[in-house]
Amino acid sequence: MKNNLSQAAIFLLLLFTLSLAGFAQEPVEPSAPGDGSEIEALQGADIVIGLEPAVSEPPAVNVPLPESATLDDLANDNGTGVVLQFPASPGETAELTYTVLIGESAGGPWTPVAEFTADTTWKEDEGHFFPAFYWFEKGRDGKTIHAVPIRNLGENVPLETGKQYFVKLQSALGGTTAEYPEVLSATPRENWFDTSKTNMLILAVLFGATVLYFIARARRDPNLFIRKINGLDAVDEAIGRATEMGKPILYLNGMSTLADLSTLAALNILGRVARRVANYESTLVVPCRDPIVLTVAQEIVKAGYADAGRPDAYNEDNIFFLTEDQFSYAAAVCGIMMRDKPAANFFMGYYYAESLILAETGANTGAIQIAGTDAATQIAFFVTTCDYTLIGEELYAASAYLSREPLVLGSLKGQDMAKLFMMIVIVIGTLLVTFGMHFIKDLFKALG
Amino acid sequence: MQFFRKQFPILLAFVMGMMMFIREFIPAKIAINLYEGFTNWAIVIVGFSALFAILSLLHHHVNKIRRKVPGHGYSIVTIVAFVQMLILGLIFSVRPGTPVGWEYWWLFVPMQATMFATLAFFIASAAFRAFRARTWEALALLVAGLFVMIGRVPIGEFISPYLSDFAGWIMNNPNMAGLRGVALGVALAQIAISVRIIFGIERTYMGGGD
Amino acid sequence: MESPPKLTFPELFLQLDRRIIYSLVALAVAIPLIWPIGLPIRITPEVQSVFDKIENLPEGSNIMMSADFDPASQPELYPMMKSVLRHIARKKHKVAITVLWPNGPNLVAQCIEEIKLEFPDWKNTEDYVFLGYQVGGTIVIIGVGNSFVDTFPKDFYGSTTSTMPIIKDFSRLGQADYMIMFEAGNSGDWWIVYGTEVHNVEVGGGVTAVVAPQYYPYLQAKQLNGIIGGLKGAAEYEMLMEHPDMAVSAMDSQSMVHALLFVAIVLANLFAFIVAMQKRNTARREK
Repeated sequence: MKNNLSQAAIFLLLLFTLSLAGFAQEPVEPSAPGDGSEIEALQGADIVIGLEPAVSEPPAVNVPLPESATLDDLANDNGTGVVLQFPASPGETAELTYTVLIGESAGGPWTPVAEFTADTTWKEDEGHFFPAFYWFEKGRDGKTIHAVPIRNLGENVPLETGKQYFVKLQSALGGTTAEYPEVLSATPRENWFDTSKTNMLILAVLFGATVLYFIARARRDPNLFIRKINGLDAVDEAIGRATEMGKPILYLNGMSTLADLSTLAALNILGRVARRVANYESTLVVPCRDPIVLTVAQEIVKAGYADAGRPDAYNEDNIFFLTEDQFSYAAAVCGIMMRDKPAANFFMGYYYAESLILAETGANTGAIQIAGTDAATQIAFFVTTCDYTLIGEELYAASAYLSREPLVLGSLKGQDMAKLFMMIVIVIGTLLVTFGMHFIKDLFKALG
Repeated sequence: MQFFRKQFPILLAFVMGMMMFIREFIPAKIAINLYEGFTNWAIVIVGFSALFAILSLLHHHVNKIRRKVPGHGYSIVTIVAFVQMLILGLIFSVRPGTPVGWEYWWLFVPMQATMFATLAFFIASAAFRAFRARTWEALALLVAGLFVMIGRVPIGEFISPYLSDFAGWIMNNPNMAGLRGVALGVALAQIAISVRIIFGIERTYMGGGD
Repeated sequence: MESPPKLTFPELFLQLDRRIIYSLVALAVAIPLIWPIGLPIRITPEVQSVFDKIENLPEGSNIMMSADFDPASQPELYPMMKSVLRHIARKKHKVAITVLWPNGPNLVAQCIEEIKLEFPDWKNTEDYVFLGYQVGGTIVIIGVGNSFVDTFPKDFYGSTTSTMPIIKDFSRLGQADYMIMFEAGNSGDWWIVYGTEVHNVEVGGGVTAVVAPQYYPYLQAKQLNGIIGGLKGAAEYEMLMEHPDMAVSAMDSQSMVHALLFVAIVLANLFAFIVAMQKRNTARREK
């Protein structure tokens, strides 16, 4: 019995020792076939004993893949886009590259449409339809979800509305590629409302409603206060001075087209000026840069003279087209100023660099000059060379100021209310943002 | 006829204005096609307006020549220049190496650059005449302007790099704040005037005043 | 007859004839051009940003360029456009060029010819396409956002754009890796609103000194990655390119004029103050 036990012990010890040796060995992977000659050699053999030396392979690279991914219709577009979204893969680094492939069927063929590194292509605003609900910053750096809009099949072939498309996602790291197990599909659809502009629509409607409300209020109570604008009060003074001196009045509508609202504002003032010039029986000269502005200016001045009861005094040749070229126009107007020496110059509308040339030449002739522009970069030049300057929105307020029409005054009031709202928002928003609360800023951003 | 002169333009302005406003919020293809269609029409109209401008210009100068007003010699020069450039441009095109290209490069470019260059002289005389510190605010403005004027050129950087940095600070902070204030006010005013035009309260564009 | 009261020097200075001011300005411009001073030019971060962007783009990247100026702004914008085109040619990027101002195309054509002298291998339709001018402003911007070919069926030289090799990989604004615009007015606003913001393309601006302030808000809001402002900006870009040209040569003149104005304004204010004090003292004595 003792012998049996000792033999058993020795056997077990031997077995244990051999098994340890077995664990210590590296697993031997079958060597990859080279040119296929090994395969030919093995064909027909019943038993194959691999005698090739074990080749150690580099350790397998673990290529991160996202845990989930979705492919949806791209929101707020015209039906030619889909968007692939997936959270950051666990352990992803900047060295990881994602490739997105698209195909028209689940089996391919596949066309790569996007390739980017894992530290880019983030969804800007994560899933909050209305970020203003969030009072405090909560991980708002936005770098947790990748969002890849796809708008074409490659080679500028756009996606078709209503057609199903299939997308594959691959990730690559250090030469090793992994593929997301699921082939995703989605159909681009046209959207009829751009939800990212909801806040803009609400603000625009509110503003419009405010303006209309004050217009309606002005109908009931026409005595709305408007502060003094010296430049507009001086219009009569300028026209009177020109009449006394027997010199013409020069009026410029700016360098822009009728599509520019400042030109419309300038034409508005021209109408009032024309009426007063007709009353004073003076001469009004209006050189125009744009042909469409020319036709409108002619009609306005004609109507102004007619309203003043002096249609016979209207001379169409005094409202003429010069040239569309900027500095040629400036040179021509300077020539008119030097030759005709108008007693009053009006520079209303949008101006570019020629503003100083015009205003300085006018100043040298000794004319009284009134300017009004919303071109922020030219305001300084007008202020230094003109007697009165209407800055920015004062130009737009001119029609209300000169006419004192309740409807127009009401809209000015509405505009001021909107400005007050903006000022309050800016002050409060600046304070809140200073303390890390961005929700007011989000009110004015495009929504996600 | 009265309808087409008075009411129709207002109705058209309302319909078009509202359409363009609503289009801004509709991403669908129909809205894009509508916008492209209208903008193509705008190009056509702008093209015709250029033709109208030429006719207006010629009419103005021919009248001056016919009436022999003082300075009508310049009108003759204008018409001759206009006609020869038109003919040469139609025959030889307007690219570099053609007669019009030559006139452009050796006449038009120097004249335009000269007109722009006169700004330097006008700025100097206007600044000398008008930059006087009559109030404390004007003094602050003047000092800021002087710092920017000298800090933004190499001589300011040569005197001290802090001048350049301070000038940059003025441009990026107070200047920007002022510009933004003006821009915000102008933007709101433009919206208000647009609302007036769309709803027919403002009818200046019709040409007949109220 | 009583002779007019003699004016003091401060009063004489304050009534200085503007022709004397014009003459001094002319001298301040001319003298440094003949005898250069060689003042150092410091590179500002705004210009460095534009340079770095073009420099760091991979070779063969697509760049959209819009030259929206006319001969009046040529002294300021032409040197910077030439420098940037030189940079693009040197880095072998592809560039598509448009012009929104009708008097601008020939300036661009001239610039291209000058760059081709420096880079003879820089080929039309392969390395660059000059689309030319098209009327419409914002409409053109929206158009190039959709397709160069539809908006410009032929380029400036009359060649059909659809068959050009460059169009194969660069056929619309959205395919640009970067955009650079040269602005003398406010068409830059249209490019940002209708172009680069819509198609998500980074943009840099080369602007005249007069309009530069109105583009700074875009820079702060990161809607512009950099600004080359005025002739000084052009000079900075030339220094970064290590190729001093027209802009650098004009810097001394610009410095002298600014210094002249600085001195004149300071003296004018000083003398105005002295004259006011003298008048106040005289009035007090007479009382």
